[in-house]
Amino acid sequence: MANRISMNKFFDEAMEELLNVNLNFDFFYKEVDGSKYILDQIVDHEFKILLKNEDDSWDYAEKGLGISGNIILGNPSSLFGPTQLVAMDAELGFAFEWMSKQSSQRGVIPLAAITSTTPNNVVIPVDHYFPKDKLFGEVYISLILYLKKASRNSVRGQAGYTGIILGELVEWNVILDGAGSTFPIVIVDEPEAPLWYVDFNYSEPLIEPFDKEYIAIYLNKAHVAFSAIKTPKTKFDQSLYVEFLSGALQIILQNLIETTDWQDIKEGKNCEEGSIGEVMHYFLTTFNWDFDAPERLAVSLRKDLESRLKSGEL
Amino acid sequence: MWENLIYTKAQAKVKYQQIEAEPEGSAPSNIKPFFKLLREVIMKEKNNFFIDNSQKINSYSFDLHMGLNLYCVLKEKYAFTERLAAQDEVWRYLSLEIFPDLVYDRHGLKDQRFYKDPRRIWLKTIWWYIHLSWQGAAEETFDVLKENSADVIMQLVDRSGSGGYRVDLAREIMRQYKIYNDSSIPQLFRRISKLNTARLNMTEPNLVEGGIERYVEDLYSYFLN
Repeated sequence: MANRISMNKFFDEAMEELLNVNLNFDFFYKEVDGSKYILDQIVDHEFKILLKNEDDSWDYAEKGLGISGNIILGNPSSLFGPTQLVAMDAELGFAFEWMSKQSSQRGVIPLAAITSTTPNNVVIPVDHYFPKDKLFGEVYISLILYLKKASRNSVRGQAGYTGIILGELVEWNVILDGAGSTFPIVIVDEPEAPLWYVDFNYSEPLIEPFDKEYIAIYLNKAHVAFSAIKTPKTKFDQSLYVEFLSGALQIILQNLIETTDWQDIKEGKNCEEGSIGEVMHYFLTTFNWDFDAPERLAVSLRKDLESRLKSGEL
Repeated sequence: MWENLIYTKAQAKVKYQQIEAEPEGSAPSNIKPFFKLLREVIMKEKNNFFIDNSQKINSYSFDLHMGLNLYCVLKEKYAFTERLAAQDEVWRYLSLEIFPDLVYDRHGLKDQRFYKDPRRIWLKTIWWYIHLSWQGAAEETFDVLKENSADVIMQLVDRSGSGGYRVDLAREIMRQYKIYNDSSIPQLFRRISKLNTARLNMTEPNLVEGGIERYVEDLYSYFLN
């Protein structure tokens, strides 16, 4: 694992307390006439944010996504001084940093600057809109603090180059497409194919995302039993659904057990955020599945899924 | 049409196996009307490229010619966006259902160039090469890129950096490369790409005093002075 040695101070909790910062942000979308509508936020177990409007009609691909609000700084001058984050004559900036691996893009949006003379309780309004044709999948958005203008009297331990990111005040992981950390089930229409099958295309499970591009459970709508799985109504449908899901999960888990990364997955080591490894580690540590032998895994999976179905969790 | 496109890796695998069985007959016989114009324009451009007999298909100039034409027709006639370009599903579909014969002619039977390796799908690579080098118009972009080599495509498109491309930064690097390329520094592009990757760990180019232009000038001047 790479270690980074800091040559200068970074924004930390103690500074945040002194700064007395208050953040208020909303996600919103705009209609064609320019009217703004606030989106509700639902946070899943991985702290990813799912957004929706009242009638669930908002779709990023049609409307885009905005973020707006304000930053209130109780005591901005606390960041400036010979022993503080930066020197008195330096300038700090706030920016949104966004990063979307699935969109293959990232960027920053400078928002506002503060100096040692910025008054207490200053309110900084911020607003940015991501157009509908820009992003795909998920996006990380964070509010960052950076060195906008360096001091002329550089002091050892204080950042001396502009453009250095000195800290992060808040981060959101927003889901734009899909339902977040659910199983990557892909509906296909293949008259010759079975009801379901699993396909693997991963090579680095500790890095690659738990996503249909790398692991997919294909469910075939051309099959006669498709509707029983899609919308299980009778007890028989529900049993079939449990069979389908437990069978698919077992294949996925067995496949991963055979990789050289399994030990890391078990221990939750070296797994990137959102990776196949991280999601599997979550399953391992959250559910009572028995990984000691394939037959025991099969029994424990079915038992667990059946009890979830009964309690309405599935 | 684009947003409803479903073309899974499993579908791609099946289609590729068909191409593998009969590569010479891989030209599509039944393409959706929506894509007819796209195929027509691109295949015509392929033929135009070979009017000059000395041109080779296995070359940087072929990739540049096809990339630029693909980029322009998708932009102008198909409202193609960055959101679509980020989806491997789109590139798999274009590679296997619209241009399988073209990809085969350029790369032979290499499954990673059709669908298998998201970082190696040929059509996707040449589109992003143009997008990351775009100077506002096709002519200006061609002018900036015409002297480059296949290694530049690889360096630019492969080094996306953590989290994705900084599109404006890439465009500025390409613009200034045209200016400094004739210098006597060997492998200049490879060198500045490595330096850039290292500096990005600490600095955000868009937030530097003087902005991206100044940041890129500093990258080149590190080697030129």
